[in-house]
Amino acid sequence: MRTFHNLLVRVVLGVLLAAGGARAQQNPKANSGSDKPQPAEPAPAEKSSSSSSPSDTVVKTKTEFSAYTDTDSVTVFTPAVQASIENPLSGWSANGSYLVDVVSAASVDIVSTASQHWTEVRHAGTLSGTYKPGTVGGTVSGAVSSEPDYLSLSAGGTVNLELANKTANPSLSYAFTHDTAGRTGTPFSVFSQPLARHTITGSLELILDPSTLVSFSADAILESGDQTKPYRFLPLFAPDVAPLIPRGASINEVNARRLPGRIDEHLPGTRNRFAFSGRVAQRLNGSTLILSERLYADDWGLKATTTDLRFVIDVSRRVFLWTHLRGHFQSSISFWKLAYAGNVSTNGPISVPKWRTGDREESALEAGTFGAGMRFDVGTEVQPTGWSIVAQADVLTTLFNDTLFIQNREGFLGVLQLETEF
Amino acid sequence: MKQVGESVRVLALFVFLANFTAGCANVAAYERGKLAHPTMSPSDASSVARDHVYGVQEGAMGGTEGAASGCGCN
Repeated sequence: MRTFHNLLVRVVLGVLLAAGGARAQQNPKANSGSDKPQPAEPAPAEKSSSSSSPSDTVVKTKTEFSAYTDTDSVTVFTPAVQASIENPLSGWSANGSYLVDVVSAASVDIVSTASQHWTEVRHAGTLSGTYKPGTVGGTVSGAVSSEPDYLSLSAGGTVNLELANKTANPSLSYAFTHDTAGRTGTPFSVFSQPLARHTITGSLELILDPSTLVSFSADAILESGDQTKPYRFLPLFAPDVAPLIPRGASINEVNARRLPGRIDEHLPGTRNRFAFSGRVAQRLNGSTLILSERLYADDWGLKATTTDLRFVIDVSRRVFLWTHLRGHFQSSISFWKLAYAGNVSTNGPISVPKWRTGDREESALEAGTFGAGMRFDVGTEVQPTGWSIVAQADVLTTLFNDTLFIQNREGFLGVLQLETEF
Repeated sequence: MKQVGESVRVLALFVFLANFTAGCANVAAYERGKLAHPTMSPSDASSVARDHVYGVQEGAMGGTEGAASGCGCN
């Protein structure tokens, strides 16, 4: 296993070094981790100096091992590697990442349809490159995610600006994603559902004072294609029975009262999502406070608010502890039903709601995260961040207000990371 | 009427952002040590696994750093 991950790190680094090695130049930020005033950066005109040396290039890596498990019998193991190489003075950088998700599920939705427990592996990788020689810069990026029944490809670009002596930094980005959903064991040529997604993001970062950063971003995510999950089938109830089905009804109760057979999920062919978010980061004396908020709405009727808070305390120059709190509250989509009512007869017409889903993440819910973490910089005296160990643990709880089978879900996420910088 | 409401909302957003912009200080480079502290960065303590869990378990999208694809939940 260790050899495998060493190999992954080397592969990603090799790609990045090959992409950027010829342009390796200076490194003014090898260690920007102290509160001491930083030396003034040279004017943009000086940044293209040809006197830089390859040894000044900054290379960072992050290796992550995480495990997630919840009370709905879902477990996920995710080893991941990230690497970046950059030259802050000349303004170029390249990033790459690779991860594997090993998902094992025997959730209530699977059990309720008498399906088998399944295990699936997802591979995902990203590559990006940035060039910002002065006050204007650009980034191009691409991502691939592949699993036996799903392939996702995306590419995008970002334009960044630095205005008012870097006090106001706006950016505009666009990404196109093409997903192909299929069925395990069936070639995409036989069965596939394409989904296209256009993501447009505008953001603005502002320096309010020497210790406070504020940023805002607005996202428009426009999706078109069939998002119906091919494995998802829903129980259907007679019109006089559906209103009597209680929240959290058990599998046995649902099976006893539902109509024979099940209906497949059916979703609208487009979905337009909009999000507006803000983030405040303030460096205090020996601590850092980061608060972010996201407001979300889409044309399926789902509205949500997400608040995320992290408070970091400097225990020493090398040790940082933090708490992490997150609250997410959302309404259901407009066509969500706890129990869909319809008529299914062997001889007559079938009457079912046109739009229907069993995805409980589309229902009204409240979710909270309570977590803690620690960073231990174990590098040299000159560069403590040369090697860092980060450990994090989050407890996640979700309350479903209007769903079958379960009313709540508790999960645990543990993350262990090793970061290097040289 | 709906368009008027949208226009008012957009205008309110611009006023809100303009207010923040007006409140910005011209902070010299040598005064930005605190701003450059690693804990101030959005990438500090970030985790691809956590982002993925939130992406799957929350009905909302957007407002996060970086891009990802695929859900592992089909």
